[in-house]
Amino acid sequence: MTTSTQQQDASTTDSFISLRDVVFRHDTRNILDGLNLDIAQGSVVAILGPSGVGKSTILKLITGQIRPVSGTITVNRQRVDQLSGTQLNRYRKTLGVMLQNSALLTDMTVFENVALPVREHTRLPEPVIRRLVLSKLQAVGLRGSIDMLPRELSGGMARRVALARALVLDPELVLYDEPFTGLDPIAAATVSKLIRHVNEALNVTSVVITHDVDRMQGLIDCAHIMIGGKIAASGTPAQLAADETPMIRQFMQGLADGPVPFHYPAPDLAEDLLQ
Amino acid sequence: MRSRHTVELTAGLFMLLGLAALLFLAFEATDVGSYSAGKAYQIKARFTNIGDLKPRAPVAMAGVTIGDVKSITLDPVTYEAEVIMNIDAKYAELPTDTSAGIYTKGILGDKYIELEPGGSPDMLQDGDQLFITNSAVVLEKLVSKYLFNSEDDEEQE
Amino acid sequence: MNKYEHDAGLSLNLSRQLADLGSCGLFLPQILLRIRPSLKQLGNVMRQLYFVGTRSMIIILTSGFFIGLVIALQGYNTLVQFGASESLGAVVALSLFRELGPVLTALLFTGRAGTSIAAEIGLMKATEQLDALELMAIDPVERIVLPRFIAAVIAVPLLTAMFNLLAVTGAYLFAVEWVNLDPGLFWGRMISAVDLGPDYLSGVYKSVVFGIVIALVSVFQGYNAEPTGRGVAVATTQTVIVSSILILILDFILTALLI
Repeated sequence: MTTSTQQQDASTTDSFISLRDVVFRHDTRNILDGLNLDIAQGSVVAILGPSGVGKSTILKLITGQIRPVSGTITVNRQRVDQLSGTQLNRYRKTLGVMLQNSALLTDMTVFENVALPVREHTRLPEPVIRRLVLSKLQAVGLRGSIDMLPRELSGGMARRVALARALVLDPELVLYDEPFTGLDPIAAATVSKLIRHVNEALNVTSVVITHDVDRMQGLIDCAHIMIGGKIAASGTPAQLAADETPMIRQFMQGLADGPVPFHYPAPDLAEDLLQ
Repeated sequence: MRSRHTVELTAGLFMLLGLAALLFLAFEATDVGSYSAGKAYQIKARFTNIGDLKPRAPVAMAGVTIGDVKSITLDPVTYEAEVIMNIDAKYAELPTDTSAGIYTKGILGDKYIELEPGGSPDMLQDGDQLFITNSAVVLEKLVSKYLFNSEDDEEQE
Repeated sequence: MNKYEHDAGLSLNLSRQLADLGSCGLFLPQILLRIRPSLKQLGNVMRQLYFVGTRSMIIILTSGFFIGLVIALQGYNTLVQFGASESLGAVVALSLFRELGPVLTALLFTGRAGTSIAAEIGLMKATEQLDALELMAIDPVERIVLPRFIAAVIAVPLLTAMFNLLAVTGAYLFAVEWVNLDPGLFWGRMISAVDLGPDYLSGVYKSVVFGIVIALVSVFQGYNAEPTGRGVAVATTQTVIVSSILILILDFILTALLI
């Protein structure tokens, strides 16, 4: 886990994930505009940025749900933007994704939810599946909840079950989409600890997409701050906190107004009122 | 796990009940057409006019339904209607000189075929033809015949 | 209120509705191509059959029974004026098997099960469950859409048969217990009037077609719902509107073809 300083010269050859000159458009609006990003194997990396800046777009590009207009996306030496059908499915089996809503299937128990990828993708006998699922649930501390339905779980518990499900096939890369949103401080701390723990125990690469700057301390090795469809700054949390660029300062310190304007673009107020 | 099995069990029960209802209605509430299902033999008859006799109309003898009309075609040579009837195999002993007539159930009812047994010692076989037939009585023809006849009478006087 | 109704897609925007119908039709081969003869799929279908079939039985059976009573009551009052009350069984059975059974069951099923299929799939989309499946390399159409589709297609003809049976039972009870018709005459007239092919089976064919239509419309509306709370509401409403209209139009076309 030695990935602290890959700044603008980020073209390290052995990076696990590498996005090059990625452009992505929605309608005519450029969401990503020539974005470059490198993530080293085995690290915990955060992609930070204000809401609506295209962080989730990066996640969808890495999982192959969407394709860039131009540019390349390489994960573990595979060109994700060129994978098709069965290749994409084979690639996704090496991914663990924890979505913002936890996205547990509502009509299945916790046990069945975690067992689902195993049942779908392997022909393991039932006792092995059971042992596998129980060990993952034990790791997130929820072995006691196997017979509960997702609607009976609290938000934090649901996230942890989703994490167990993401880990059940021993992925190489785990992606977290807004893992702390809507959680109370205790639950958020638990999830944060689990992310770190999973990374060390399983030696996976972890990408955390979040706007929650305060949770980053002690969790991540390296953060990338996205502003305006590009990576505006990269570095350890300490480096970023010390950054004097106005934009980065505004984001890290949570100021209402600054280079990211408080007002949504609008015609002059006086003109609007006099109409 | 137990609940999962009860779910599948009730689903299976549902299918069984549904199929049972489907088949029960099909066999117990409808005319399955047993005359045409192997246990019947066919006889033919020719009529100069069949009125509005339709396929599947009943064939009766002494008022008892013993079969139904299988098909009706027009003979292109003689311009007669050829009617093929299914007769229940139970009633295999019909004399060869049986006659057939087309009648109406009630005044406004449907047309049906009534068979009159003859006295021949020989019995009809599958595919045989009846030679004595009474065509349907068409009401309009009756009426017009009556009208023309009365006109004729008046002229004669 | 007016604005909401307009937004909710309740307005009859004809070209959009037609385009929707087209993509709905194109969804069918996509579903059918995913059918595999596997035990896993069979298990999923049976689970869904419980939700759309078993749990629709109460409404279907109750409605069937009372519809049977009502037709018998109405039919008797008319027939008795012509001295033809012994034909009651025939009248009830013919109207049920040919028209009322398939159409009413289809409409009731749309309200009971079609809407819940659409809402469930729509909600799964809104809460990222379908995304999660895709990210686990599990095909959501095969895992979520297909079992619900097949279950609905199986359930509708079976429910129609149950509806018909209960309705005939209701009519029979009315005739025998209430107006003292001869039970043998009621049943006998019914049997001789109802032909298996043109009367009974044509109704069964209709119910099969209706089942396919409801199943397809429900899963399509759910799967293509806008992933928001309002989107789910719109999908549910659209399921009822589109299914009901299609059922009534197709009923006319099928009747014309089958007669």
